[in-house]
Amino acid sequence: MTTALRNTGIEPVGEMPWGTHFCHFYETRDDLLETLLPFFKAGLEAGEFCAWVVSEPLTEEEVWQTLDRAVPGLDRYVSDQSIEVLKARDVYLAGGEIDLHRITSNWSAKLERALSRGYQGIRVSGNTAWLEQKHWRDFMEYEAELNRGIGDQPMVVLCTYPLTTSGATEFLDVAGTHQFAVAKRRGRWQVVETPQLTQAKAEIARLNRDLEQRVLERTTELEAAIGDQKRASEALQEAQKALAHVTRLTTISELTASLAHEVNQPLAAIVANATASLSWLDHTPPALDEAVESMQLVIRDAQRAGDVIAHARALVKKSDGEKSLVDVDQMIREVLSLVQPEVQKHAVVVEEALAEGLPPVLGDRIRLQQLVLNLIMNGIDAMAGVTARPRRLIISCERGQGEDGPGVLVGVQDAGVGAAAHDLEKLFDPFFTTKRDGLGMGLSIGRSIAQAHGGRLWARRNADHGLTFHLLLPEKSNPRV
Amino acid sequence: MVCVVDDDESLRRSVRNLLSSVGFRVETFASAEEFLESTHRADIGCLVLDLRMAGMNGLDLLRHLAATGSRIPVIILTAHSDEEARRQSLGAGAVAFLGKPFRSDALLDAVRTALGM
Repeated sequence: MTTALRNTGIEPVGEMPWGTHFCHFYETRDDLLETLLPFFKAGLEAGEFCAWVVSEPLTEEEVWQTLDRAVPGLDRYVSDQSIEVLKARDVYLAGGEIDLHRITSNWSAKLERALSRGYQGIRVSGNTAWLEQKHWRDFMEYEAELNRGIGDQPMVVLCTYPLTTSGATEFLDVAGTHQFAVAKRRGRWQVVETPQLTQAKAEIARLNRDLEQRVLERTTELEAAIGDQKRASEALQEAQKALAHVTRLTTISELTASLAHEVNQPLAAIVANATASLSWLDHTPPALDEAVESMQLVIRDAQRAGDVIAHARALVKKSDGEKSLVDVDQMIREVLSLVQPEVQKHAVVVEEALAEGLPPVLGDRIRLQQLVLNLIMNGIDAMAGVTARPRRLIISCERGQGEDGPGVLVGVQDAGVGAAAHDLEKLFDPFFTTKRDGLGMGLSIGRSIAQAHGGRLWARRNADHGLTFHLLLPEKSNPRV
Repeated sequence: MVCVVDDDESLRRSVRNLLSSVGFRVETFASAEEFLESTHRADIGCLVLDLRMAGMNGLDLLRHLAATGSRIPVIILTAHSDEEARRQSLGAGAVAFLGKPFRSDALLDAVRTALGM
């Protein structure tokens, strides 16, 4: 049943829900028409089936005539049988008695037929001027029955009672068997509600206010929550970026000595070769070939120093998050060249197993370099205390297969102290560290970098010693990228 | 003859160039082990030695030479020229300690001094 309100067409009543049963006390024939014409007009226009049950002071003929004047396009409603005008005595008094069961069954049948013909529901008005005192009690029983049963039906029923013939007792009977009463006296409308209806309306109004208030509060809360969440998410992203940068700088600061070595080495060679070149030119005759060769070496070493600085700058630089095609094997070689002094310092033997011709991955080169750098530095650190076996670090990269398609699989295998099986996942928790002065962010950030590339980062215990970290990055052609 | 032990190829070549341009005879080695395997040690007037190398490092070689009664003067040439490294090197018998990058005349002076020139 639709919950939309029905326009009663009666000014002081306005819109009411289905299941409304009310009465109208009228003084004159005109009062009756002034109420019922707009009542049915509104019903017809709203797609309801209408039944007007007539008795004196109106005749069926008068009703049709007044309807014709009051309802535009009445012909159409008549031809498609949207409205019928019935005699009150035929409806209520067939067989000379008021048969409560028969009347209510008739209304039920009319309702069922109307619904099956596509009407929203039915709108009924019955006049009671025909009612004699001897039928009063039966008719009130019928009204009471209708009042009880109408609540869940798509019906609006308006019963009209002549005010002039209603005494106080009748008035009370009628008011008690309807949800509310309206009257127009000397041109002024009066609405008489039963206490239940007043209470129900007050309750509905209160519930509506509560509901509106709750909707408002909830909306405000949601808006605030969405705003908070957005701000929190932005702040978190900023913090992660900053932390990633700090972690990278921390790694870089660990590498500073190595970087100095990497730059000082070619600088020393440049100075020596340049001096040598001058000396060769100073010979008599000048040793031109040797001088030229020395100068060529100067150029080569200057380029080498420049490359070291460029690599270091690329690593220290804050990522702008831009993605490009990255050759993973080439990227690993660049990182390895940078950590070479660190490798030597810790007497680590690096074995490279880098497959060539791998498909590129689409990624943030700086962040991927940072991730690989972290894995390598972790591997070196993990072997710092190892003396009983070679400190071997195996860096591999090959084709891999992820859950979502092919990818490039990077492996960093150390022969270090390893970790307990139940600690393998903890390694990726923020601030989990086994290093005395570690931040404990490297692997945590590493994993988020891998995930940001649609990839995975995980650790496995080696059969003999140490751990292998695996990084799987989806290929550029992989649809997840 | 001056021997140069350094695992960095460009540095070996540059030191060889510098020393030969002023008339020294120079031989270079890529590791401490390679140097120890060389046969004509008697001919060596001085050794220019890097500290940080894979395998046997410069300090180990310096100590090894001292322990085996070598009288070859050793000049340390290193990119890791911190105080601790200097103290350890000189303590182990090095005659000079130069950080990279070094001044060419400083290295030449050190070599000449080592050779008693």
